[in-house]
Amino acid sequence: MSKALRMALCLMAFPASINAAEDTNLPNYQQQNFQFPAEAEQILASDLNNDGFKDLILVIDKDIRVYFQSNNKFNFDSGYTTLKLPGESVGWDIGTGYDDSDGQSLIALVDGTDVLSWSIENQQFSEATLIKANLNGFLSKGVNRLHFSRDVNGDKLKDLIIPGAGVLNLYISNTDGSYQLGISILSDVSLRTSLNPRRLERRAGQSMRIPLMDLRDVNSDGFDDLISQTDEKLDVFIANGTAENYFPQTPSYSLDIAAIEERLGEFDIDNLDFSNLTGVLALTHEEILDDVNADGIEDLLLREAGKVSLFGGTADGMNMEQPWQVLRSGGNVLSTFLFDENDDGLKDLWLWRVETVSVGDIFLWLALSGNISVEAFIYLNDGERFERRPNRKITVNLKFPSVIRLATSVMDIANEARELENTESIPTTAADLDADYDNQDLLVLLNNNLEIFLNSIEPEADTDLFLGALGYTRERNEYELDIREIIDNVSVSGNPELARLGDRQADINIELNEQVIDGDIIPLRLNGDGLDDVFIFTEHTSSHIKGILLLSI
Amino acid sequence: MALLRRGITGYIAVTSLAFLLELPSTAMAQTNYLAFELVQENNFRRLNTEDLNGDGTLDLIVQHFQEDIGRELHVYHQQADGTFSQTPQRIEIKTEIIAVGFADIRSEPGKELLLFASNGVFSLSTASDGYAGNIRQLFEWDLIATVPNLESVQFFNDIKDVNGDGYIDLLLPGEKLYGFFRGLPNEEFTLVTRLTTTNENLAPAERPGRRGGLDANMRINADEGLVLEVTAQESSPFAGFIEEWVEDENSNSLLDAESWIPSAQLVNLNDDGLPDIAYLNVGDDSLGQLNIHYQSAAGEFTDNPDWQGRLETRGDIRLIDLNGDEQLDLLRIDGNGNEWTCYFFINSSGKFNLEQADQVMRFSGYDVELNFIDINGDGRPSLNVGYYTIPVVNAIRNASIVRTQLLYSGSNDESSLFSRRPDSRLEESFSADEVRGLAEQMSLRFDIDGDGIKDAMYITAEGTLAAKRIDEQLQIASEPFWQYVPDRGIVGFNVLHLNSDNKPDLILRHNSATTVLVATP
Repeated sequence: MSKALRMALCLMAFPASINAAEDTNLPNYQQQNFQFPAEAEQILASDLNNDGFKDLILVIDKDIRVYFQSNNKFNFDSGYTTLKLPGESVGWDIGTGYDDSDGQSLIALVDGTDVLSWSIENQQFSEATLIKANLNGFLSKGVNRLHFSRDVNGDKLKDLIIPGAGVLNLYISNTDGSYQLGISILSDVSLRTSLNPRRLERRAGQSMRIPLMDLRDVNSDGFDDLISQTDEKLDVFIANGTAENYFPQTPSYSLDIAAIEERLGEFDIDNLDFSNLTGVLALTHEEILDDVNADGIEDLLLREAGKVSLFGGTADGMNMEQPWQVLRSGGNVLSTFLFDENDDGLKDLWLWRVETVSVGDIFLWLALSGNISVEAFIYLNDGERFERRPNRKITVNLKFPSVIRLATSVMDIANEARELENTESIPTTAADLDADYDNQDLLVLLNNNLEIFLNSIEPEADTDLFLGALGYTRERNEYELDIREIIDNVSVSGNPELARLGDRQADINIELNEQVIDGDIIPLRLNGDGLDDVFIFTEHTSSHIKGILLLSI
Repeated sequence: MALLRRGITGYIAVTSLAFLLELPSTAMAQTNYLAFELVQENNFRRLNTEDLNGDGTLDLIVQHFQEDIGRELHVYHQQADGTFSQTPQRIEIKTEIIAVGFADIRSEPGKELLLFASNGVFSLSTASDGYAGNIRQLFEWDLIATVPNLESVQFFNDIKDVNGDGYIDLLLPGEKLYGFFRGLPNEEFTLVTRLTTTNENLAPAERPGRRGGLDANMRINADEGLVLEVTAQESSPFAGFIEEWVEDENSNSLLDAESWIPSAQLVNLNDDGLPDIAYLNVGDDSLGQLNIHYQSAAGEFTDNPDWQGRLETRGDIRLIDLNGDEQLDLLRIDGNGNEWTCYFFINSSGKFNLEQADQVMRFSGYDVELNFIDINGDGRPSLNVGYYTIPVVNAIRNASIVRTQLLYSGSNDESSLFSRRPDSRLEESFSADEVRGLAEQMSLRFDIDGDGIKDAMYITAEGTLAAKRIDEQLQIASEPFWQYVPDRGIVGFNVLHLNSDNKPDLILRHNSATTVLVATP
């Protein structure tokens, strides 16, 4: 469908809404035009001068520019201050407690070695304060958001998480502003680099993602513990809230995942059993930390192929010497998890198996539809361990069309999505613009107008997540999941909320008096009155990003 | 046989045995091969073949990681008799190094290592041990990649003399632009051109990168049970542009950073025989754009493109010589599932008419692969198309996959590049019992017997490697004339010359090993 025709159809669908809207002003909102430099890469809203109103922090190359909100408005022409960040590799964030006011400050890890902070005084950045020096961190070049200041131990003081080479170095802060001895936790850094791709359409560059550490109280002592899982190890550091060092220097207990993988063996095509391809599941393993015996302390459930071992957690670690229980299952074990099946407050073991699939089956499914049975065996928890035999079996019959049809359907959806991307889409968003917080308002950017359909989005009914798609009940053991039906029901129409409005006319229609080109609407809360404020982007060129801010008053 | 165990994360076992190839009754003289086997845990990493000691034979270079040692390159030197050293030369890769290349830039025989760090390029000779007194900084350059992977190293390939003065030159992606460094005597380089492959007329938000897409996944967990989910999302140029700061936000990542630019290729595009620079980006009209910077006789490039053309960028785009004039033409393959359309655009003195393809061909099948191969060495490429089809009618009786090879000769008709109908068609049916034969597409790129005519090499249903002849009419013979029975299943193969005896040698990829077969007299 041509772009022009699609646009015409879009307009035909909402002919009345433009002229027949009753109001042209949004009560209790003021409009402000804004213009930012095109180089602005990101905007963060935060109350950096601690006056109760959120300011706008823009990253422009190596500069941090802050637009201050004063008297419930911004001065986008000159009401800003700029800080040039030092160093080549800078990770920045907003943190609290880095100056005497206990308010917000801009903080940055510079070149992996120094943490600096800047507070705002009289709408100007203060001189940098050195928070910690001589760190052994590394960062990618340039200026990037780094979520490295967090309260790890719940003492209201911000601690530092510094990325290092394959590790995260954690520094817990003391009340006097000093830091405890750092500990290193293994981290799976995801790094993708391409310097000279041979294909014309591929790009050169690098991406890096460092996952955050997992913090939770695994032994119910009121202090968050630290769980680190990489491809090679599971390490748990049990916190001691009263000790000089909150976390021990070495893990309280570890599981050698690399050794497990070595035991299970590697995939080897020469030894692949073509009559049982699902047999490769015998190479898989899972490690689950959860409280099995309801003592408040997380235990370890370890699955190696069809063998499930349960180890008991203690107040200061894990009894890894002797498992409480070992269960063995035949067949191709797909996965395990813990979920209370019989509502007795104890988590039961769900062990999922899949039937044998051969190369012959796959060849057949290339051309013909088929089905696979996935079975869950439920071992009830008696309070100390799981029963030796499953109490219940649930079967999910997974029906699917032929691979040919499946591939064609997926391609059709992908094409539809791509086609939609190339057409003039109608930006919409949900926001709260009035006191009715139960129902959200729909905002539509169309024909250089902002149309507002007040309270048109009803809250979605709470659905039971667990096996919700199957209609799970405790009374039924046989289920079916039809992939063809799921694929057929995928909608790429883009604006389901808009479609639901039908012929309804907009309650408010604000003429923007601007030619909107590839615009967008983004709501967020800037002044603490519970109402969304709305950024309407109307134009972005090589020199600037323009738009209108609807700011609640 | 020597078996060397090398640490926890992987090991290399080296065997050196003589193998004899099975030869059916053919006119081909019997060839013996020396087999060298490298066993390694991660066998999908690149195996480099370079002459590092200057003896005229190619050595084998693999990367290796061990927790307590770090990254190393292991070099297995080829001996005069075609065997390889049993123990590798080990070269430490320092933690700052992001990528390694190979180039002959010192007066000593053999190639040196080029080491690419975030802030510059260095050379290192493998003839001397260690870095002290050996490493030399060639020049400073802020590379686009700044963080090394501490368990593996990238390889920077295709380093060549771009301006024909006998010294290697380098085109390197930098923080926001490419730099072209001209090589000079005595390991000196000078930056002669900086060029931006990103269209700076566009706002950052308009450049590619913030895209929606289709995502499907199946998961089993305690929160949702068993879930199959298909999501299709539309993108917005401002998605993620504004966010609110939330104290102790439950973010999944500590850092999420990326830096990408359109990649520039050094390719011959006009008739001066000098490589030019080509890249794709987004034009001012938000459509795809091909950009060309011609190399001047002085070996320089202009900062701005000499030629630009609007191009539909959907599908795969390749620059490849379609008509044998040694100036690369453009091929775009668009399609999905089993319907594919191929658009051929002929290079005319370094320019393209991208509005009108010179020839369009359509194919129905899965995994369509196009190769342009000079089968008989006459300088004119033929078009080889390989694909799979699944005959639905016979599915119940005998489920099978059909692999088809089509060969089109270069057309004598000026209105088309390749003949409109295939000169030959080979269809082979594979049942589930013969699935090993589908490990790799048939390849017509290699001349296994060295007679100057390409052969059709393939993995048989039994997992052996075989070759069939291709005759003057581009017909592929029904029976193989060559076969190799390996000890391990083959998942990939390459034919190349590892020494100067002009006899084709082979590299066979297995699941966790690589066999190198060097032809012997």
